[in-house]
Amino acid sequence: MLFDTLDFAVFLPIVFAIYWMLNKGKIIYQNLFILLASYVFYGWWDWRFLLLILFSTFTDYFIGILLDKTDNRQKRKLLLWISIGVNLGFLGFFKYYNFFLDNFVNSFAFFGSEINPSGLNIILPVGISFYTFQTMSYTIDIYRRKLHATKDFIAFAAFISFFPQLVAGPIERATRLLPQFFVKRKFEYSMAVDGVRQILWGLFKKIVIANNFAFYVNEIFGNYDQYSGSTLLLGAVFFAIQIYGDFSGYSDIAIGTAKLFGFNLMQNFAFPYFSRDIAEFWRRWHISLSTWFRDYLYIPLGGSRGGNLKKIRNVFVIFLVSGFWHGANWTFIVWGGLNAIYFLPLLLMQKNRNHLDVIAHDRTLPSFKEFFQIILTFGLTTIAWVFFRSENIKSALEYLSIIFSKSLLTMPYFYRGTKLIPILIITILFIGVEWKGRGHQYAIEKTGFNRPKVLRYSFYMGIALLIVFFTGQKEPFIYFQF
Amino acid sequence: MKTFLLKFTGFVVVFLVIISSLIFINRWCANFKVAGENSILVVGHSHSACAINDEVIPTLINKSNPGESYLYNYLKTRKLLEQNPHINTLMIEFSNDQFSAKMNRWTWEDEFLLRNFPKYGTFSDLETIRFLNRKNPKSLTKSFSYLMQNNLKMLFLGLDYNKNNIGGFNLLEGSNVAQKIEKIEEKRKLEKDNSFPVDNLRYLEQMIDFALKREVNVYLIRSPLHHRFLDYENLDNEDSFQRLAKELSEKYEGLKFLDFGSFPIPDEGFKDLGHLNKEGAAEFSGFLSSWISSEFEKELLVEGVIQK
Repeated sequence: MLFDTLDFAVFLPIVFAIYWMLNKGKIIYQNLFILLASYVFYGWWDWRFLLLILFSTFTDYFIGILLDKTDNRQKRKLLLWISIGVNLGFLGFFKYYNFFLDNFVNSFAFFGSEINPSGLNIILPVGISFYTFQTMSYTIDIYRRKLHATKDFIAFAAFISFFPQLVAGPIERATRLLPQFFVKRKFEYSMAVDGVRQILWGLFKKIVIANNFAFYVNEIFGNYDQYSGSTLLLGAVFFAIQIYGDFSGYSDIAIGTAKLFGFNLMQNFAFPYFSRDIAEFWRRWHISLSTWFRDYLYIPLGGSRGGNLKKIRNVFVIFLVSGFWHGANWTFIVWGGLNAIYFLPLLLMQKNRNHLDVIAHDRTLPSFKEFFQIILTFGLTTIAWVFFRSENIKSALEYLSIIFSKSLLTMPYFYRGTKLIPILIITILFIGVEWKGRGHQYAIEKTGFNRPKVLRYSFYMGIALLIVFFTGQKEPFIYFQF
Repeated sequence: MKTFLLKFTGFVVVFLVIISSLIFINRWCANFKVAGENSILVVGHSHSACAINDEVIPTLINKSNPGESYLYNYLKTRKLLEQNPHINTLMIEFSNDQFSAKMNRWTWEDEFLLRNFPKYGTFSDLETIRFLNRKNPKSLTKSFSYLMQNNLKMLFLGLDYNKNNIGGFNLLEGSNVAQKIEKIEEKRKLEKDNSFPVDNLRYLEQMIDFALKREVNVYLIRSPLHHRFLDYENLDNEDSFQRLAKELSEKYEGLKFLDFGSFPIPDEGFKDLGHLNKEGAAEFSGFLSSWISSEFEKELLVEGVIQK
């Protein structure tokens, strides 16, 4: 079920009520109930998906125990590779089988040889890219002796399937989330209120911002050959806003929901569009995934140590794999490659760790230089987003070529009689709120704390009403397809 | 936990009160008033919307709207008749396709429910909401937020529902009759769904009943159709359609069926096989205007079929 549906609105309070009623009993009851609720949540899409996650859970549970039991280096390596093989095998089959098959067929056709293998009608299990990475982090961390295996199957299964973050992250590390299942959660008023506040903000970002821009993005990208460069530029910017609202909104709902149950999940987005360079952007965008790749791929490859050639190789590997993780299409790989090209100069000039603090942390507004840096970084990422959004590379290149043509200097097409003007006004206010709250976990975490309560609650009420009045078209979470 | 639940519940209650207030303000203060000289109201779907130009018929106002089934016509007509006691005649479009299976789609399928319920849902009764909830709960729930958006928009428009796209003459230009006729053979091959839209009939009867109780004269009218219309729509229901018209006329005293289905309009006067274009509408509306100004002169009609 999706977070912005009536099903979830009914599911959550029921689960919340029963969960805290079980608080008086043993911790195993809390964990077991979380596990059952998570399976109901996941099975709501398709009960067959449960078989896959159960298999993945059992595999890594037993591999974890075996890894812990043996000191034999070869045996440990073998067990680790079994875990990685099983998880990536499932991911590869469900997500990439048809992609590889199509490319295999196309390459034969390129050489004039037609082959007709039978494709498979494979349903992509929701969230497979997320939970396989989460479960792999468990076995890898045991292998690296950062973590001991748990014999508590219920806690482990609940950690893997924890419903707030199961289908679209954040991708949690076992070292961070699993220990929270071994401690009885106590209801904390401030945490619960914080959770509700973050859910509200997440719903606003998803429903008001992302869903409303989706309408224009779909229209522009779907008919790009009919519009001017200026309109296509707007379309690309709208998509940049849409994907941020969609994904960071979902993460906020996930993190907020977890707080209602006494769990702390990691921050997944730290205001990435206020970044001053690409390196900072990638420290702030989809943090759980980028740190996963850093820790489990980039660093084992050598990271930024070694000669320039090695650094270049490692950066490209990371970004191309990250692109490929997003989808079985060459556009995602190109998107990853483009980001690698953006990132490399900073790494090679050792300027990739220039901006580690919060932008303008001691000022109300950014300096002119910082503003220019923000615009430049946003512009570069927006160009890359065109590949991410396009159906194929050809249409992405055509899209960009129209942007960078004379028609860029014409007035963009303005959708009369739609909600665009009020949405743009709301978006400007949204950017203002995000800017004001850029030093916190999420924008409205501390908004209005120095004002009378009635004003603060009126602000929350305003957000809730905006959600109702500006509900956009129903759009699935973009990252669900991953 | 208690404090959290109390505060959360309090927040939700205040939220619901604000939302409900907006609905009630719209429900009780909505303005459906039309100009005093309009004593004849036309409702229906796109056939009557395209056929009857109320600008050339002084005492008539056309609130037909494409894509509306009788359920939505009924909700609108009720408010129009309540707020306009000077309306003494109601003409309801009564055509073959309104008794085909497609009317079920027009009543509760996603696209139509999401388009029409936000406009009229505020004026629904509980029975109608329950009915739509049985048929399409997901879209009904989703349409609620669109309904709230519509209500807020109407607040800014002074609650004048005539500005809410509730119907009017639809001017069409050009003609593609020939292209449509070419497609008939292809369409005849499609599977027929012969199910009868009982719910559409139910709301038609509610509309007739409501009007008659207010002592409003009610006419069922079939707007001009091209002679190949039924073929194109893959409908074979002319006999049952005529029987239904007769049954309704017998059931409701005073109800008359005016069959202008064969009104002589050349192909050039049709936009497609079911809708008149500008020229066709001018011709038909001109006739209708004379007929109305002659005080519904019966001699102009022969056995319910128009005599030009």
